[in-house]
Amino acid sequence: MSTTARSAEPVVSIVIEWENIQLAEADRCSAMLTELMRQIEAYSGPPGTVPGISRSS
Amino acid sequence: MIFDDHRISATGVREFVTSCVSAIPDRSELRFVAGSGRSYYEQKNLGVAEARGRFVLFLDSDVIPEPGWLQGLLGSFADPAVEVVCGNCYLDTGDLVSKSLALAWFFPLRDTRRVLGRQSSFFANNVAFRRDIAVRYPFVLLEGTSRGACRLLARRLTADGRGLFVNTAARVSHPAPNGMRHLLLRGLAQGRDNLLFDRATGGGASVGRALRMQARAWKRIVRYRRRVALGALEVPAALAIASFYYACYAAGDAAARVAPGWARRHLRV
Repeated sequence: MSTTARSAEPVVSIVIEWENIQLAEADRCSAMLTELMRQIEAYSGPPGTVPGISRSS
Repeated sequence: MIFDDHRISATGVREFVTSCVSAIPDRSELRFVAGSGRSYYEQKNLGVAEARGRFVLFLDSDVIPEPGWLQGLLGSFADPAVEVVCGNCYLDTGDLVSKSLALAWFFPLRDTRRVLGRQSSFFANNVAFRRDIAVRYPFVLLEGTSRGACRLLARRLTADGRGLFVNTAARVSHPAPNGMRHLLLRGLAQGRDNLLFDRATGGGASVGRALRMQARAWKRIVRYRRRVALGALEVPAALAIASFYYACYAAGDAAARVAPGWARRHLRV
């Protein structure tokens, strides 16, 4: 997964190793994806959301 | 998403992921990459080859990031000395077995601090690299092992004076081994892997290491049990679970000494 700030170059690529999940672990994977999407959304939101990362416009 | 299409259906992965993700955030893209039989670490190296971001973050599908994980890892790179930064990966606790292993296994306990500091090791399920560093320093798996390439890479980064850090604000929870069979296999494989690692790095390959690790696990159970809400009456059972794990570890060590071919072929995790 790649997310871009305001420049054309993606800022970050998140490499997720997808394991052969069992039914019992599906809830964990779902929770991981939900939380990850929430954090990416916050990150790729308005400039300044993530302190410490300079974001070109 | 890197998945092994020799073991998992590509359609199944896509369907599962899209059922969990209602919408891809703006300015983001989701890609599925087939690993085609690659091992755990080879798939991570494939991820680096596919990555286009300035930073490459690694996560596994069975770990759950806490709020602040992404910010913690990416924010660390504001310090130019940081070239690689890992977070805090701890074992999720719920039942007696997971509480016991949270204290006895190799993962640290959940760290409540928010500290960025130098580090000498990391886990490949919660770590971020500047991309140029990730390209120059791929994971290299020691022949005959299943895990441990992150230990080797951490040693190489440290030896080369690279900026390896930990940011304890970037926390993820990891599940306990899934049942007794998985616990047995993880113990056997860790015993084998540590022996081969020690041999390769001149660490001595001591026969008594399993006993020392068990003693350390017992101490942690007694000393830190309250941190995982392990009751006093549960301590004997936790000590027994730790003993079982390190007995498996010792068996894996022994198997790698007397039947290395068998240990290499059969102890896969």
